[in-house]
Amino acid sequence: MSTLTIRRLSAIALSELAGDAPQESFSFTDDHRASLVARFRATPTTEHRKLDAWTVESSGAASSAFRWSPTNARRSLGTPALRLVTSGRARHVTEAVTLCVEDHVVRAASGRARPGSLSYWLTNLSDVQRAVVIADTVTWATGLLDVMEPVTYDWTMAETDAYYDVATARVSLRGRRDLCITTELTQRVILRFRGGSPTRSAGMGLRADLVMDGLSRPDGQTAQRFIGVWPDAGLILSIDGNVENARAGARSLVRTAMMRGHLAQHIAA
Amino acid sequence: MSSATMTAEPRITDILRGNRDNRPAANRAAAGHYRQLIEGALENLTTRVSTLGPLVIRAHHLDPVPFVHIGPAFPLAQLRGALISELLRLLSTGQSVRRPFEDAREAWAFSHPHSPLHRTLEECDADDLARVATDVTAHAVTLIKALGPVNPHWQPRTDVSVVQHLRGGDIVVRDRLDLVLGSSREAVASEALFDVTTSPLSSRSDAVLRYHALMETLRTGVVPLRVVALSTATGDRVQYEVDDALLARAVSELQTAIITEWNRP
Repeated sequence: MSTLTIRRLSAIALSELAGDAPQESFSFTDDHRASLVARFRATPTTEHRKLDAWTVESSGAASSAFRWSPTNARRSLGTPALRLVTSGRARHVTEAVTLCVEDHVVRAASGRARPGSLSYWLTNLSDVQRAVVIADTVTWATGLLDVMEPVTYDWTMAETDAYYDVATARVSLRGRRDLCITTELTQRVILRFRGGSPTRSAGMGLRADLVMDGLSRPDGQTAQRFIGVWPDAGLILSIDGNVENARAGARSLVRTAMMRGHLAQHIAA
Repeated sequence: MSSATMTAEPRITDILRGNRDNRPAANRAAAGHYRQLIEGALENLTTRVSTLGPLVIRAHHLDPVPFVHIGPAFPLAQLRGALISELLRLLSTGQSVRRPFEDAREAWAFSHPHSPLHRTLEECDADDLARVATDVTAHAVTLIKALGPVNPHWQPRTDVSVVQHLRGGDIVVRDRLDLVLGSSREAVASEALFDVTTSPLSSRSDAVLRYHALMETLRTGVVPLRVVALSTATGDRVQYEVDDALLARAVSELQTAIITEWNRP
């Protein structure tokens, strides 16, 4: 069933959701991938489309050009910072975030950052602006750590987001994932942390993330469970990695691609 | 409900942390009870007069006097409050603040590029700007003197957003916490909330502190240890240990605010 489970946020609830995740999960076969490519190719387009859970939740609405800000930098900085904290390479979150910011600045100073990158942006900020970025990231990362530390299973921060490019259909997919819980019985339970409170279409976004995570893997296997955590609202939404959710997620991605295509054509006309 | 209004001496960070040996066990059972109490009072609400989306409640709705923007000084007072909150964020990360007004202004403009208060700032002539700068600097000096160093091991979080949906999403209750120290995952109550205001302390600031405590309880499911407020206008501080009496009063005040706003045409 494509059921969406809603729980109040607590370490017990997270541990239970990880512990009783189904042992089996859906896998995308070559046939599934070919069928998805065919559906994407059938959608009208005049441009390359970049889709993620947000575009699915907002029904394909065009987003404004990306610009770095303290809010969207906190996840990119907070994830490696938490890796430093959980591996004992930093004493506390503030130190870890500061180290990550310094690392970016050094990278840019040594000419290893491209214009538009996070490193480039951070380098061009004043000390005060950088302190704002650090404060925002520390708040985000500490909130995440506060939720995760009491969870009874092993968890690790995700190394990267999930990317899948459907080149012949001019579609790129980006599935966000923040951390992975592993238990004795299940292999992968993926968590995503979100700001604000879940919207009515949050379930669709989770299913899209589940699909993109599965497609990005060579074996095509989806996570056993995909959990969205909204710390501001104290809520958890979760879906299982079954065929119904995978189908619903794939369908919503194709629908969003179609809407984006129509929108681009409308603007071009 | 125990409280104490103090004159000056102890630093805010010392008050927030308190004596670690005297902390009560973390209360993880109360949040559900208070949520039920709030929802229970909202069951019998009639059809809302205004139907423009969900009713959004914020701390300022707790004021028994309707919130009206009166007088030319109001936007400047709002701006001053926003700048002092921004300074608190800088101080919490260990950033040294040498030019309070300029630093606060730069930080605020950077983190709130779309705030309507930018217009207020643009409309200031040289005299207005000099007055605001002096005003903010005076408040900042009080804050810096009163706050004390924020140890990063205390897990400082600034400008923490809280949002709760009630009555199936018809009502959205929002809050922003200036500074939160400690963790909700400890066996003993450890979370301390700090609110900085540029107005003198009043019964309204007490209600806001209770609101913060209730909102954080609903968000984390754990009752915080204490709430503390500092007025940078007077240097006065007030602290409350968060207990059942405080939260019950917060629930009652929130219910009243919701019902008042719900029936407002």
